[in-house]
Amino acid sequence: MKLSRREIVAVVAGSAAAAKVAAQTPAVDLAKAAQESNRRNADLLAKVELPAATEPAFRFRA
Amino acid sequence: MTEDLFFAPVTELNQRLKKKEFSAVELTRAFAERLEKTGPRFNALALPLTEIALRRAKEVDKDLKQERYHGPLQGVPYGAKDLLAFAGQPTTWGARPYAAQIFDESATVLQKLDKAGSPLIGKLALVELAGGPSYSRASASMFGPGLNPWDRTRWSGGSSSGSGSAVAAGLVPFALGSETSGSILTPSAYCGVTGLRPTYGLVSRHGAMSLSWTMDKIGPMCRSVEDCALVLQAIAGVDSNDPGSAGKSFYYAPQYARKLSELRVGFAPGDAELADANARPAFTAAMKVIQETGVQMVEVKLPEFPYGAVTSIIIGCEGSSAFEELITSGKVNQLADAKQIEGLKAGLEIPAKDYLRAMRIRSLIQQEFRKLFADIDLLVAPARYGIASKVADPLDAPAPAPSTNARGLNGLIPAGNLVGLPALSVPCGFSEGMPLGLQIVGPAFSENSLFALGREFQNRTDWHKRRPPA
Repeated sequence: MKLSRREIVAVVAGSAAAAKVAAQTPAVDLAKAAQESNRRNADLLAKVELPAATEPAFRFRA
Repeated sequence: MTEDLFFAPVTELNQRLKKKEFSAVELTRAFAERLEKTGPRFNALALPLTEIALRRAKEVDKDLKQERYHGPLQGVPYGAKDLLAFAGQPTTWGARPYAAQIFDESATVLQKLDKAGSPLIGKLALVELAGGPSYSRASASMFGPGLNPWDRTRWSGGSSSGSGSAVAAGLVPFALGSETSGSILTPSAYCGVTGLRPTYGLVSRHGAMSLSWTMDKIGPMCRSVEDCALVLQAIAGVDSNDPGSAGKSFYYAPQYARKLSELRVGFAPGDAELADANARPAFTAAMKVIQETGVQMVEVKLPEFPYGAVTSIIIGCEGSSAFEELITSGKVNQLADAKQIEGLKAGLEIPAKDYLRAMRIRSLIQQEFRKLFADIDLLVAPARYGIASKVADPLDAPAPAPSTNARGLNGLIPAGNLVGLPALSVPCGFSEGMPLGLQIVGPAFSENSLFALGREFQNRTDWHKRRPPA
């Protein structure tokens, strides 16, 4: 596939714009979002009924 | 050398080497020059190794001249994801803090391929730290975003981005990738190549970057199912240096494969509804081809578990532990992706009780999959439900509200990785000019069954032979 100059500029500009958006998101917000994501995942795990005798997986194939 | 040669399967290249149509040096030089010239167009090349590869090819030529044959990979060059150590050369893991990292010893898989006579012509780009706990942009790599040979405005998929695009563009006959949760299947599907995630422990990870000790796997990305089988045969096997080694070898034995008519293949009709509208016709047609192979189709449901959450907690904990020094030293801030930086930091704070709960749920998931595979032999589903995203699009954008209640086999990638199951992605059609992949999953160490069905699928279709625009 041959890209026109305009298309190449669009790709590069798109990547740069995306990187700029990420860079502009304050780190503190991203940190909170990461912690919140871990909490949400833990909440989902808490909903799984887990028999007391269930041991952690230590062999990783069926 | 004609353009066709760059898209020839391993078996053909090896045969032509033996017939002395060209030498290993000529073949290696042709691919190495192509990789050096064209790899950067896709941000696929991490490090060219042309001179070292040519020295190895010269030795191979001596063996070929004296008819000392070492198997089907002899003289066939390849590329490897840059999370595999190659002695004396930089191994960056795709991440700026490790740009100058050099190991004294090569990864076991690279040593095995060297022994098989396959010259390594280059290290291939990847998402930094193989994606870590999560990342939000295709540009999350010190090599830039992986660009797709089918359309450079689209992503090649992660985290084995360079391996996917280099195979698709005919820059290497085959490549090695790695998967913790989707990193072989995703770029294989997006780039239209055939990729195998082997059973956990079948292929040594010694010398590979650790992201998750209990989930990392290394596997081949190739032009065809048969090529994947031949590469797996060369790289599989017991390794006392890998604590996760299963102590098993793999022998490609198509002559002993079970008859397809004896195989019971699980599928979920809801997968067609879950697929992007433009991709549905291709997936429907591909499932019809699977059915026409004579296998017995059986409707199944995946056991209900929060696969994504379990996977995230395990990779979050193990990944942050593996990179604790990077995080606490502050060097983590040199990574390209802000989400990955914060994800790694947050992973250090996940309570032990959450990790242990995830690992206990993983035991339940393993039990349920044992029951599932008591009734069926294989599972078939879309590898991804749509085509590669645009390079600039965020990868973590909230998914649109589903237009269906169908669950299909959604979640099979994290589920399969949690249980350590092998999976094969085969090209199965196109949508909007971009490739789609179908995944075939089986119980542990069932690779020969996966290859049997995958091979028959490729006998009946030519999607794996399609080439991206020049």
